[in-house]
Amino acid sequence: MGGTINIVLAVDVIAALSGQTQEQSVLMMDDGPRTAENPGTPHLITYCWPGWQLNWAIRQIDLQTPAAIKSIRFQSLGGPLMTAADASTLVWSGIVPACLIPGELYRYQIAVEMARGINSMLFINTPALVVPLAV
Amino acid sequence: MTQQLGIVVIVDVDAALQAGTLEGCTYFFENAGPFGSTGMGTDRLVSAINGTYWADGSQASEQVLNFVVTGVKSLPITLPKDYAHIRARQQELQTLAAARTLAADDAAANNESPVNFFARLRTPQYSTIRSPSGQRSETILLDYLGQPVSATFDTSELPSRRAEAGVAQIPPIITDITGEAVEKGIIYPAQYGSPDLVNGGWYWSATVATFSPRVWSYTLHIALYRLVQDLTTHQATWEPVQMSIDAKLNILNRPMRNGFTGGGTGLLPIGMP
Amino acid sequence: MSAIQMPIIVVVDVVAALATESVDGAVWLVDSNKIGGSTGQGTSRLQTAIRKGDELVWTVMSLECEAFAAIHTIDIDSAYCEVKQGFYPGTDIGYWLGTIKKDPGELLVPYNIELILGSRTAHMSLSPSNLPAITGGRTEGPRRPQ
Repeated sequence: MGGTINIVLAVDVIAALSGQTQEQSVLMMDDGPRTAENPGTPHLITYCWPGWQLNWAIRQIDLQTPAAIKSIRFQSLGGPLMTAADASTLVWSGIVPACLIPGELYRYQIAVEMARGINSMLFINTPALVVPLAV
Repeated sequence: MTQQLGIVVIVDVDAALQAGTLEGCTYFFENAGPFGSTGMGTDRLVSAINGTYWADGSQASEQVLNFVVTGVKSLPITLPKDYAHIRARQQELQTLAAARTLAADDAAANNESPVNFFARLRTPQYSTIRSPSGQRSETILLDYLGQPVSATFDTSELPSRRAEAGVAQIPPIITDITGEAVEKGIIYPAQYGSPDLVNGGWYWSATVATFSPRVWSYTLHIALYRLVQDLTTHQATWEPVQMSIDAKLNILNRPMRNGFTGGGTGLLPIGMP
Repeated sequence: MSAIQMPIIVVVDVVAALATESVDGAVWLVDSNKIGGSTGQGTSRLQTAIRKGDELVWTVMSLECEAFAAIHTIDIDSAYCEVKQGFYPGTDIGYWLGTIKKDPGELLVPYNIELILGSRTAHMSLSPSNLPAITGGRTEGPRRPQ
């Protein structure tokens, strides 16, 4: 039996759409029991354990700007399994599988849709999950 | 997840007062145009609202509407709320500085006479705002460029060569939100205190219960202000004129789905690194 | 008829403009002169009816209250309208003031608005088919307070 870890992605939508770097416009954090690496940056490494549930959520820094997670894709397996015309109707949560190798970084990509248009998609390729080595 | 929607209402107060209605004189805007809202820039706004629900039928998200009302002839809402008083105070300080200079120059036998000085003296034009509930408060008349409109001693100076300075109107205010959507419990409007100090530090917000998909209408009750000047006392008063206009919400029906599985929660799709 | 000062509000959906990399469809203009003959309020193709000597005051309003929007310049034929930037005294909130030099009569004099949006460094402006304009024939100015 595992617990739950919430991973929150905060996006300054106007900064991101204005061409600011991800370091200036994206920050990530989680509430896991073991403090993450690089919290407050788009390079968040979340410690997790098999059987635990992970929930991803997005918060826009300016509340009136629309933003939603369009997909989460693990580099190791591709995906996403679902697409939706309206990303705001998707919820992103799942259970950490037992097959993960402790100490290995499992990088993933979060695609964020901000409003609608040719600049709408923001791809964050730098976060990762890791199952800590047993101490 | 809460989503906030800003609804901006701009009123052509002169046209509305002349026509006796807000219809055709009101322009609605909001920032969900790409998501299905219609009627931008017209008096017939239909806001698209995502009514999302979970598999068990319960409501998945709530929507908050924030209303901002202003007049075409009002100063930008981004200016400080007490901007008129700040400007009047600056003008008073300038007048005092000029008076001190005159006194000093007088001592040095300058030739400007106090009569000329007083002829050019400018003081702010105060006005009374009568709120829809009858309370009275005071403000200072500014033009569109933020300059105090002067009650000068020498009135012959007024609209001569220069373009006639317009008096910036105090913005209309929402006094109530009613209608079908409120009666049926679809939206819960309330007036909130705001640190932004727009409209006296109060603004109207509404929480939308998004579980009833269809088009719902609501009515905005808006007080416009007519500037009335007493010809004998020159006292200027902003008198409220109540009007109303309808707008609509189109609540769409959208099931929430898990992005990884399309259904319930499963194992994360992670393979070998 | 005396000359008047007339405000024009430029409403901008900053997020939509940045997302689509275009202000077409994300800018709407409203002036205070509906009763004086202006048309196209609530679109980008506002036609403001003016007379010689009138002054136009352009300000910008962002739909997302926290989004930055400002007018970088108003691009208009200076034979008809001379523009200059000003700021509300004591603030960094700007306006553009245009003085009508020549009555265009029946002619439409189009103009463009260059906008600074968000923290984007490049300015954005309307495409030629979506421009606002000034034209002659203002019939009746908004009345002065009685």
